[in-house]
Amino acid sequence: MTPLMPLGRAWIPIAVAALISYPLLSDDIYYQNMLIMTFVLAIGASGWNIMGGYAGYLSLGNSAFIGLGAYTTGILAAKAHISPFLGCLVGGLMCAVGAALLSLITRRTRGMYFVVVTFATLQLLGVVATIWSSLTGGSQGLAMPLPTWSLSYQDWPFYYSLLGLLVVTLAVSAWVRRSKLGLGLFAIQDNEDKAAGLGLRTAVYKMIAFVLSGTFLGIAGGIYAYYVTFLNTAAVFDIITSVLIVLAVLLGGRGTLWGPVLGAFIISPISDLTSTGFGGADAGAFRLLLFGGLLGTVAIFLPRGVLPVLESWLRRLLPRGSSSTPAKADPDQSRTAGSVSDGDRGSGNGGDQSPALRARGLRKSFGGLRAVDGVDLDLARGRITGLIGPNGSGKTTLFNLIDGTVPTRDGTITLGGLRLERAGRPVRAHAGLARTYQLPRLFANLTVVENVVVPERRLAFGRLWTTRVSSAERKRALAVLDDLGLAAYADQTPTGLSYGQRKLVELAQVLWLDPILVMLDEPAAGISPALSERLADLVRSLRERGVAILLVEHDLAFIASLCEQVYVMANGAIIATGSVAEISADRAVIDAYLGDPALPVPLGGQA
Amino acid sequence: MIHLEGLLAGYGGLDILRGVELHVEQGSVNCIVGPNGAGKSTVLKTISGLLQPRQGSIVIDGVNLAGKSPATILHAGVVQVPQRNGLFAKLTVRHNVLMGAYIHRGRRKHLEQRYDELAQRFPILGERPDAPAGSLSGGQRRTVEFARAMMLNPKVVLLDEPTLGLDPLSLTTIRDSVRAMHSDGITVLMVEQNVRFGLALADQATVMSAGRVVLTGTADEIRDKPDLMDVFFGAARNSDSGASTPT
Amino acid sequence: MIDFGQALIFGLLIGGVYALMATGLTLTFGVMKIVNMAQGAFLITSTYLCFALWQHFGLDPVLAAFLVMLPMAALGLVVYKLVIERLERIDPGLTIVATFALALVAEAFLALLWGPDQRATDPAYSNKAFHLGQLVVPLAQFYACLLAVVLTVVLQVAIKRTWLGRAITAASENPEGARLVGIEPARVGAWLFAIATASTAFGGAALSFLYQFTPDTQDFWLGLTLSVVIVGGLGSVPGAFAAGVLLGVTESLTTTYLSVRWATAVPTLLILVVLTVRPQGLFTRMTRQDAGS
Repeated sequence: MTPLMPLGRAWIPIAVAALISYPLLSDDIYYQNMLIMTFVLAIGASGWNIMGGYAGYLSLGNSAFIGLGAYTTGILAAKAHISPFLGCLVGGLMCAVGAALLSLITRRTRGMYFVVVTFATLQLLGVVATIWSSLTGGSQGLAMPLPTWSLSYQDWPFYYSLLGLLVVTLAVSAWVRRSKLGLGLFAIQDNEDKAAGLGLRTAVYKMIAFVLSGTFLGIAGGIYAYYVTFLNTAAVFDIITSVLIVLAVLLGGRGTLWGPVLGAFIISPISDLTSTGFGGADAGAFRLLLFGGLLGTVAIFLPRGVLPVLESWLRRLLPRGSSSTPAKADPDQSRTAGSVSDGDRGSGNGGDQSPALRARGLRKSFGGLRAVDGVDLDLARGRITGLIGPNGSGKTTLFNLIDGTVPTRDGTITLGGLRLERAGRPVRAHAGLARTYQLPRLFANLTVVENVVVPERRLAFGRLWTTRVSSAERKRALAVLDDLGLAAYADQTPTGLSYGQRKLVELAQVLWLDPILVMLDEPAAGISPALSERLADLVRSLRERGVAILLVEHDLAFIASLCEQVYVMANGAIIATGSVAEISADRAVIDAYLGDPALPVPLGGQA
Repeated sequence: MIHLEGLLAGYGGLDILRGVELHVEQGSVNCIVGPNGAGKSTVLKTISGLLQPRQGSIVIDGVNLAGKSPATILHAGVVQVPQRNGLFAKLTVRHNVLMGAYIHRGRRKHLEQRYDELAQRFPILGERPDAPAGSLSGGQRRTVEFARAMMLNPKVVLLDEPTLGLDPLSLTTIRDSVRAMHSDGITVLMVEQNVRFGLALADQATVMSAGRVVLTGTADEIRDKPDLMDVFFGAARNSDSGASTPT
Repeated sequence: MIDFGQALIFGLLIGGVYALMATGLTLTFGVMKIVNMAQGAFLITSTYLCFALWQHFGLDPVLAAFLVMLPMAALGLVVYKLVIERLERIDPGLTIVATFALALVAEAFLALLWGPDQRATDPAYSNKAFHLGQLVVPLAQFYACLLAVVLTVVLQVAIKRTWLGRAITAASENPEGARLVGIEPARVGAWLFAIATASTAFGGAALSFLYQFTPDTQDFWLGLTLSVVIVGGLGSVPGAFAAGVLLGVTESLTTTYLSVRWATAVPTLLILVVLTVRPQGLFTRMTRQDAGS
């Protein structure tokens, strides 16, 4: 997907070959050691990137994984005489468990708390390690067993095991990136609320990402322990390693695959040089100044990092098409509006006569204001129902109550037989509820096709590892986009789309969930009549398939062309229902729109 | 007094105002009505500076204020009472009203005097000055908002749906306040959902639809128009189309 | 029983000190929703400045704090304009990283200027104490706690009684309504940040005579003030006071009944516990806006 990719095919094996052969060709142990440290940093950076670059959750405590892995390995080696090369795997496991625990702790809070918690945990581990000196040797330190191989092999076992681990980490990172897990993570980074509303179990996704983030670094930590032969808590749980990891990723390019590695290969030598090159008592301070300064500068002035900037330069120099795989041209262009889904995921709506949605007694007050005051609603399958009312009548709040954005404290909501009033948003999405917004929000990091395909009806672990968009999904999504006239935009990000086009894509998104009920919030507002027609066609085809539709609109002509039945809301309550003709002649409705004539009309109001 | 020409404005890719032209005479009470999404509130927001118009001019008392900051517009004597959340719930009634004169906050004595003057007209200022604004009823809040708007002795007052969320009995207070402003010589431009109330209170009226002004005239003329509801309901009202496809 | 009483007294006093340290962070976190990872660094910088005034002019740290307020306010303003205003709009996560980087740079400068030796100021009251029956109340901690109370009261009064304070309350609650009366939320934010940074002068002064400090103690204080703010929850400065006291008492009891070393783990453990059990903090009534459903 980037201009570097064609080169990429070539340079990866070259680089790997070079790295493999280097120790065999050169005796210079100095550079071997520098590369070893670089590998550790690269592993840490790539791992961090899965959580911080893909999901967007920054962590300031990732070096804790090194510490945890190192000490686990060290303790197993020192006390149980287990070879560090085995012990490091246990170290990785410990890190996985730790990451899972932290994920549980932070599942109810957002990104900034995550940063604070990771930072605090790093401190905590340092303190615990120091206190529990019987186990860890505390500030005295822990000595590792010495290497058992002959000196002629120098540091090769460390070198090659870490290189191998780096390759594995990158492979996993690449796989995640192209998988459904990665798709979900990027969606979470863009708009976590919307992702949840589309059925993604965001807590699970984030936990997996964080576990991956830490496991490989934990294993590396174990090998690192063996390499340095002596562990001491202050050095191992030092904040500066965390800083280097974050710096490497930000500098190289957060969210890209190779950015973290590039960053590590830049930062690690600098770190090496400065720790040996700076002398004297002030050395530590200078290093802090250097890396703190670099981190601050990169965060403020170059937050995207080097790699994306390089790529955009290259893109300008080499004028090529923006997508590598052209959208598959489908010979069958003349589709009718009824081909939205091949029905292989169908929830079997046909023939079911029970109401799709039954809501009773919905109520919501904000402060003293009754936004929704005891609303009962029955929406039938295969019917388009309109909801209209003057400004402030409570329509949006009603939508929010049904879809779970606003918690329902009073009343009941039954969808397809399931009681939903206590359920969270992902559960409601899974039950078959879908909703669009007045202002469309799409995931900017994903292509249009990916946007359509990302919603999830239920969580299947096996599926997480499959490719982002399977060919069957692509076919189905393209069919929908084709109906909307948007197939040409399939592989672009939504930034190029007009407002109206984005609304249509949002609609395609909610349809992907094969919902039982679709709630549309002013779908026709602000779009051209042509697109509005397409939209109307799409809504009608949904009706054919037995989906229940609730439509809020102010354009009564649009409502009239689609809805058999209309509810009219005013002051939080339903004041009339019937066909469009009926309600527009209804006295109460007219009064709601124009104002109650029984009120004291000012006599001679103009002075 | 107020002249809007060729006003284009919107949010994030969506144009709400599509070329608004509006003229409001000095000292008049002008009510804008129209269906939702017509852009009525948006007009007020561009005048008060909350929204920058993409194009067009907003000339008030001879000065083009389009695109200026809200503070500058306040200095020019234009005050808006918003639709919702006008007050600061955590501040007292007194502080809320005084906040209206934030741009003149140095003139302590003057402001205290003004507050006392306004307390004559709006009794609640004298009765419950230390109540947190969040504890007041809807009608009381509106009153405090009006008082606050008057702190600066404005030339123009913009009212965005003053009756929104109010019970019918509070409407008399709105009526009285607007009449008082009118008798002070203030030009009032209001947006009203409650069409009958708005048109009864105003002397001039403007009807908007789909981001443009479609009709202007005296309030009486507009109110007596037989096809007024068409603007709200679109052509659907007169045709019996109902659902267009057979089930 | 004496032990318990003593531990309690220490805990209360130390708690007040912790609240003092956290004041600036409470303001920026509670009102502006900004996590300022440089809070510890601001504190330590103030400490060193007070120390310098003590060293060269023999000025009592608390008095020195009044002078130190000014450069700190300027520093806060610069940081706000350069870093926070830019980044908050783009990506709040980057604000955290950038302020953290700033903290490290500050630490480095302090180390270069003053070296890594442990320092402390030593005003007359630093080793004295008075007695409440059988309980010992150390004077230094007592003064620091008093300072905390006074600062909290002053800030509360300022928020309620000055135009700026009311404008800050207004803008944080209702930015659009604030703009309509001519308040510019960005400017008000800059002022708030400057005030919050200036208030660290007092925490820094207390630090100078209560503890020995080196440039890298900013790390510890950062962790601690974050704990106070998270445990207390978003919202009022008095809420943070309560959290500080809780922290102090817990630490003190841990020291007395377990060990000093475990006491240093208390702030972090409390963060983890609170976030698991009640993410919106212990002393607020509202839910965090970002708490998931």
